[in-house]
Amino acid sequence: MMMRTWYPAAAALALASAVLTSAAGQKFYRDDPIWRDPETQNASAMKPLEISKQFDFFENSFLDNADKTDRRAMNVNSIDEVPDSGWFTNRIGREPWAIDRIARGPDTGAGPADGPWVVTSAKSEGVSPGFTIQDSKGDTYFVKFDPPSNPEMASGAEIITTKLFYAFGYHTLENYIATLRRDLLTIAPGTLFVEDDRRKRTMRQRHIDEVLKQAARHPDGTYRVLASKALPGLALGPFRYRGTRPDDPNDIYPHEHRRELRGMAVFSGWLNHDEARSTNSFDTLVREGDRAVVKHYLLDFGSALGSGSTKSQVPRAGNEFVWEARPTLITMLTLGFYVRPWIKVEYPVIPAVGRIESTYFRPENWKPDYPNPAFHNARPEDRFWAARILSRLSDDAVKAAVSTAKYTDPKASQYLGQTLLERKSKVLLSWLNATNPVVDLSLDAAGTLSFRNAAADAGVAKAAERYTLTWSRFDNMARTHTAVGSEQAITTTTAQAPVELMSGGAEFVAVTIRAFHNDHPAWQHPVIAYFKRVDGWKLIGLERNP
Amino acid sequence: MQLWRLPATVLLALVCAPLSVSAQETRAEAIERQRAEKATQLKPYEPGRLERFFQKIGEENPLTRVSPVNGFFLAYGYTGKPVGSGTAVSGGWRHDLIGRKARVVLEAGQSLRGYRMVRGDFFMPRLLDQRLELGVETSYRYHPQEDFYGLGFGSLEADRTNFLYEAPEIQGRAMFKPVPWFNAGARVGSIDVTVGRGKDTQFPDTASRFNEAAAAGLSSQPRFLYNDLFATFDTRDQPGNPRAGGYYGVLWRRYNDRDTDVYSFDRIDADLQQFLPIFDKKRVVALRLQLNTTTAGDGNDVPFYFQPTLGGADSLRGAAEFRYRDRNALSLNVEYRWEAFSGLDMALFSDFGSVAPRFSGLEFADLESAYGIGLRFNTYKAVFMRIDVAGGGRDGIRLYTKFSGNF
Repeated sequence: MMMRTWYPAAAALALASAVLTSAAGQKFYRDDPIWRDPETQNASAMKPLEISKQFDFFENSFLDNADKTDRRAMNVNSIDEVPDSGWFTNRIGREPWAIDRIARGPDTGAGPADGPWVVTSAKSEGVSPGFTIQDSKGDTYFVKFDPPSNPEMASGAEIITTKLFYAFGYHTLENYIATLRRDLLTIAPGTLFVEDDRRKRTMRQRHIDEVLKQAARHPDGTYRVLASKALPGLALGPFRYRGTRPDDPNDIYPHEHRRELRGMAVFSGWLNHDEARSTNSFDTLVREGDRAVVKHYLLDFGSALGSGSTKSQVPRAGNEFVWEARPTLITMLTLGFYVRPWIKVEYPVIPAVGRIESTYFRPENWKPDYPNPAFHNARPEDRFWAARILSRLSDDAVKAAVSTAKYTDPKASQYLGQTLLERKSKVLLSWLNATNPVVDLSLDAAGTLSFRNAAADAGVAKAAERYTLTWSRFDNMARTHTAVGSEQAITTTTAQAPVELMSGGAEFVAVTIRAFHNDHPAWQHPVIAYFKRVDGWKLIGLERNP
Repeated sequence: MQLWRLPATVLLALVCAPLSVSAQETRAEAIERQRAEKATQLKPYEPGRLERFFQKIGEENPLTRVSPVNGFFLAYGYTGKPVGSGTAVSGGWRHDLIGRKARVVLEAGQSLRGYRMVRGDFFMPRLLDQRLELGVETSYRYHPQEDFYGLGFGSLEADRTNFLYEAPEIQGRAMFKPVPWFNAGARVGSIDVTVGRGKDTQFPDTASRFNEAAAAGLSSQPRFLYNDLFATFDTRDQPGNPRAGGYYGVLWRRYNDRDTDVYSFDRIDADLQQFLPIFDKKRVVALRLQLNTTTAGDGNDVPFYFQPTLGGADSLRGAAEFRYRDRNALSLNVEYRWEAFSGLDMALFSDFGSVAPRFSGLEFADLESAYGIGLRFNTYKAVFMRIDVAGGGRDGIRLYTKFSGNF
C-alpha cells in the first residue's frame, strides 16, 4: 500500500525533473562512465587548518550547519559508482582481491626497523599517550600503546579496521604491530614533552617511563605497540563531513553529498567505528605530476570494534549519540526505571576484544558517537553501494583481516571473527534489500538484457518473484524518454528488448526495472539503465532509486 | 552561523547548474571546468566566531593557564574550605622543587561570607618510588560565622547562633602508600583555636545565648597538641565519580590540652562508602556510613567547636549545616543514581542521622531522616556540579548547589 502512495509523487517528481533538465544539455558524455575524478587544479596554496574536537561535537550535535537536502550523491559517475579520487580508490568493489592482499592493506613494508628507536616527541595527555619515533632506517612512526586493562585491544582494533577500510577503498595509514624495548629507546636532543599541565618541557627518561606506566606490558618487559607510519606530503589537518574547503580548487562536492562518505556509515556500523568524525581524518598535500592535490585519509581506529581506545568500548557506542534528548528525558522522567535496552546487552569477557557483539546489533539503528552529516544524508542507494562492496569481502578475507591483529588469545580471534561475520550478514540483509538490488546489467547486440540480483547473490534474499521492465528510446540531448512496447514481466534475470527498439537505430535506449518480493517492498524502487550503441550496447548510465 | 549558507548555496548551484556545453565536451572536461572556475575564487578557510572561541579554549586551555600545576595559580574554592562558607576563590604559587623530589604550595583563599585561609605546605611526595610522602604544613583559618544551635538532638532552630573560629596550625605528616588502593599515615601538630564573636548579624552571638556549661570551651580555648593515625582502603573505580568499589577510611586522633588539662580528648572518625553497580554501572546504589565519636577522660570535656556535627550537603541533607552537634554523630546516606546521559546522573536519596552525648545513644531506631532528588553533572572521571533538593527534615525543604560531588 505504501508503495502505491508514493508512486504518483515519484512520477511527478520524475516528470518535473525531466522538464527541469530538458534544457540542461546532454545527459551523457562520450567518456561516460568516468572512473577517475579529474582533480586537475593545483592546490599548492592550501594552508593547514585545525578542527576543535569540542566544536566538532557541538556543531554536529546542536547546530545545523550541514546541507541536509535529500538529494542523490553528487560525486558518482553516470553508472552510480564512485570514481577514483583523492578521497577514494576502487579496490575490492571493482575487482577481486586475493586474501593476502587484503591482509596486507596499505602496508608497503614491515614496520619499524629493529634496533634503537629515537624518540622525537611525546605526549602524556590525550586519549592515547604515545611517542613519535625514528627507527634505525630513519623512518618516522607514531607509536601508541594498549591500555593495561586490555592488552592487544586497541592495537588489534586499529590494525583490523585499517585493513578493511583500505580494502573498501578509503585511504588509511600504514599501521603495524611492533614490539618496543625500553632499553632501545633514546631521546633526540631538544625533544619536548607535553606534561599533564600541557606545558612543553625538555624530555627526559622519566617522561618515557611516565608514558609507559599507562601501557600494557609483556611479562618480558617489552611493549606491544601500534606503529603508524608518517604520511608523505604537507599536513593540512582534518576534513569535515560537510561543506567544501574554500582553498581547495578540486573540492567541489559538499562532503555531506559525497557517496563514499555517506556509504561509510555502512562500514562504520559493521565495524562499530563510532568515532567516525572529522577529528579522526587527515588531509595531506601531495605532488601529482606538475601539481599538488589533496589526499584524504581516515585514521585513528582505536575506538572501533570492541575497543574504546583506553578501555573496553562503552555499551552506548553504536547505540546512541552522546547527547540524545528523547532517551535522556525518558530516563529522567521515569526516575531511571526506564532502562535503555542496549544497557542490558551482555558481552563475553575477552580483554583483547573489549565490547562488541552481533545479537543486539541492528544496522539500521547503529549510530556514531555524535551525528555525522554525511551519514545522516545517506540514502538507500548510498548504503546499497557500500553493502555491495562489503558483500565482496569473503568470510575468509574477514578472518584474514582479524588474524593481522596477532591476538595471543585464540578465543579473541575466534570470537571477533565470528562476530564480524554475523554483523556482516545483518548489514547485507539490511542494505542490499533497502532498494532495488538489480546490478551488473548488460545488453548484447541481439537485444538480450542480463542482470543479477545482488541480495540474492549475497544469500540475504531469495530470488525475486518477478521483475517488470519498461523499455524506452532515450534522447540524450533532450533528456526525454519515448516508451517502446508495453511493460514486460519476467521471473528470470534475462529479458529480450523489443525488436522495434533494437532495429530503430536509436543511439541510446533505456530500461526501467522493478523487482517484486513480498519480504522486500523496497525492491520495487525503479532502477533505470541506459545503454549506448557502441559496437553493440554499452552500459552508460544507471540510476538506482531515482 | 548562517553565513556558510551563501557560499554553500552558490557552490551547490554551480555544481548542479545546467551546463551549457556542446555535445562534444567530455564529462571530465565539464568537471574540470567547474574546478577551474572555483580556482578563481579560492580563499582561506575562516572559522566563525563560535569556532574560534572553541579553538582558543582548546589551544590555550584557560583552566590550565590560570591554574597550572607549577607556578602562580587561581582556583575556585580553597583547600579545606568548610561547608557553609559560601563561594570562594583562592590563589597562590606552587611548584616542584629539587627535580620534582619536593613540592611547595603557598595558598590563600577567601569566601564571599568572609571565610579566609592561608597556608604553606612543603612536602616530598615521591619518596620510595612514590610510596612515601613526608610533609610539613602551616596554616591559618578564619571562620567568622560558624553556626551553633546547642548540643544534642533536642536543639532548636530558634536557638541558632554563630561564633568566630580562628585557628593557626602547624602539622607534620608521613603517609605510606605501598599499593594504589591502600594508604596509611600519621600526623603530629599543634593548633591554637580562638572562639570569638560571630560576624553574622542575622543571628545572635553564641556567647550571648549559651554558656560554658552548654558549650564546653566557649569561655576559653587552650592550645592543643595532636597526633593521629589513619588508614584508607580505596577500591573505587573513579574516585571523583565512583560507580563501583568502595572507600573505607578510619582516623584516630588524640588532642592534648597544653594549657589547662581540661579539654584533652580522643576522636575517631570512620567513613565507609560502597558503590554497587547495576546494568554496567548505568545505575548505582551508593551507600555511605559516617561515624564520628569523641571521648574525654575523667575531668575532661570535648570543646564544642571540635565536636562532630550533623546536617548539610554531605550528611543529613534535610537539616542545615551544623544543625546538630554533640560528642557522637552518625549519618547514613543511601543513593540510587541513574545515568540520564553521559554528562548527567540523577539521584534519589535518603539520609539518616543522629547525634548523642554517648556512643551508645546513637541508636538506629531514632535516626532523623530526610529524602530528596538530585542532579549530578559529570564527566566520566568527576562530578563537577550537583544540585540536591531535600525534604523530610524538621526544617523544611533545603536546596544545595555544590561544585563538587558528595561521595
